Amino acid sequence: MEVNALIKVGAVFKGDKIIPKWFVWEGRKYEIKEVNYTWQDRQGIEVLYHFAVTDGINYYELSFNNQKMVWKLKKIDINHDS
Amino acid sequence: MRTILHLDMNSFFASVEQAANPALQGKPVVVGGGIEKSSVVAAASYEAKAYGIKNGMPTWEAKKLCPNLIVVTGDMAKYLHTSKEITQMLTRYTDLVEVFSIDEAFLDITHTKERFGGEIAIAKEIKKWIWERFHLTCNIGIGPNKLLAKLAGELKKPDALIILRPEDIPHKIEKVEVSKLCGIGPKLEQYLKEMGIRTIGDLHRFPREKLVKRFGMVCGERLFLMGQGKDSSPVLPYYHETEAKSMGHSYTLPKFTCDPEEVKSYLLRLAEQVGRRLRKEQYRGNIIHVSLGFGNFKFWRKQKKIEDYLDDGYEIYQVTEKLAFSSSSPLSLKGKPPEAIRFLGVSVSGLVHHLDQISLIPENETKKKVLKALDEINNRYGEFTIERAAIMKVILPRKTGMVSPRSYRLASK
Repeated sequence: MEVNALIKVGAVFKGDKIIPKWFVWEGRKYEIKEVNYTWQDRQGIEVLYHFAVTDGINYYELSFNNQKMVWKLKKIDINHDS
Repeated sequence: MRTILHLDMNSFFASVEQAANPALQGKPVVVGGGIEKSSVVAAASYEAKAYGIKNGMPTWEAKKLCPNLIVVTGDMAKYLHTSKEITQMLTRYTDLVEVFSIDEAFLDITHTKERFGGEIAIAKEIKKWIWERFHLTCNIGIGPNKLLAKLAGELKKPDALIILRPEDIPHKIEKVEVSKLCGIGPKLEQYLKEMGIRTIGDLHRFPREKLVKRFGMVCGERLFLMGQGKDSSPVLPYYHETEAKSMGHSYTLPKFTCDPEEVKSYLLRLAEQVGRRLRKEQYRGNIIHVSLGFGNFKFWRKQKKIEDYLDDGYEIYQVTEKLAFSSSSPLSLKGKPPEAIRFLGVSVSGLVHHLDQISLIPENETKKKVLKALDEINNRYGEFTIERAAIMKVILPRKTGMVSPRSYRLASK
């Protein structure tokens, strides 16, 4: 499900890596249990860092824009197996 | 003797999606184009392949074979980034890395393998790195040339490491179908079948003279050498510049249309995209092609050679419009209703590199300046930040299937 909402994120910048730890969306805090996949993309001079993460239940795609310094929740995949 | 390593990612797009979302692991997954009714399978997971689902199959057909099939909309940025990062890692072992496609590469490690403990140690290290970084598996084939290295990687899937040595030819691949050899497509396979050649063993034993007589000197000789497991083609490193022969864009419409205005809008957007790519790579071309696709995979194509070399999308569009609505086009056959179309393609060939003459017509110089300014804005703020108002109503989603080789190669040295 596409969301594309601005969110608040707690992340650790470790060396050249960004590790998101939690995010707040619509007033609720989600603890990130695992970062499953990371990749980058460009929009002009802006670099978008993408993170496929899970809170142990559902799957989320977060992105960080290095020029605008904003985090977005791009997508949610509800895990129907859990 | 050379040592060539061939790397082939297993079910690449689908495996990336399964790695990004572990809820998809172990399930039949296909990556599609996103347009539900017209999309085709760009990649299928091994679980989906077990149902007989193949790449290129319409998604509805795949769903018939497997009602539980999960269709994921492809994300090319994810695949391009993964491919580039893997290629970057491969260059640790040699600078002779040929990016063969978005999920395949050749490495010539003849002169560097000993530094890393030999070819098997390198292959194992590469597999380990890819697994640890992305949770993806790959096949690695090792051979004395590109032909055998690629064939080795085809022998067992997934997650295999296979070596073919010259002394293994032909007994180790005696019963392998000729179609597994790189360069033998369905048509050639059929011709060979008609001559009684089904396996590599058959090809190995087939007389050279008969192959030359049937396929001509160049192709016949090449087939004979393939049967002997010989191939002298070099690994072309990623920084080896190849001249582009043509540049184009195509699009499958979400629904059939015979509305001329809609067709024109799509043509203009495709032409603008082609123009943008030509300018980015500093090419201009003077042969303009247009393709129209109808139901039942019927296509109509027309091209025109023009005097000027173009890189302006609007000028390219003007030629394609004339071609698409010419008297012979199914869109404007006199006395007949226009046929509804589903697919549009625009491409430019007859390319020349770095042709930038100052025009004597001031208007042309002004146009060039405007295009340069538009390109600068789009370079800085992203594609389609600024574009013609006429095409704003048609948006082409990013494609999942074929991408230009230039988009996944590493930057030249």
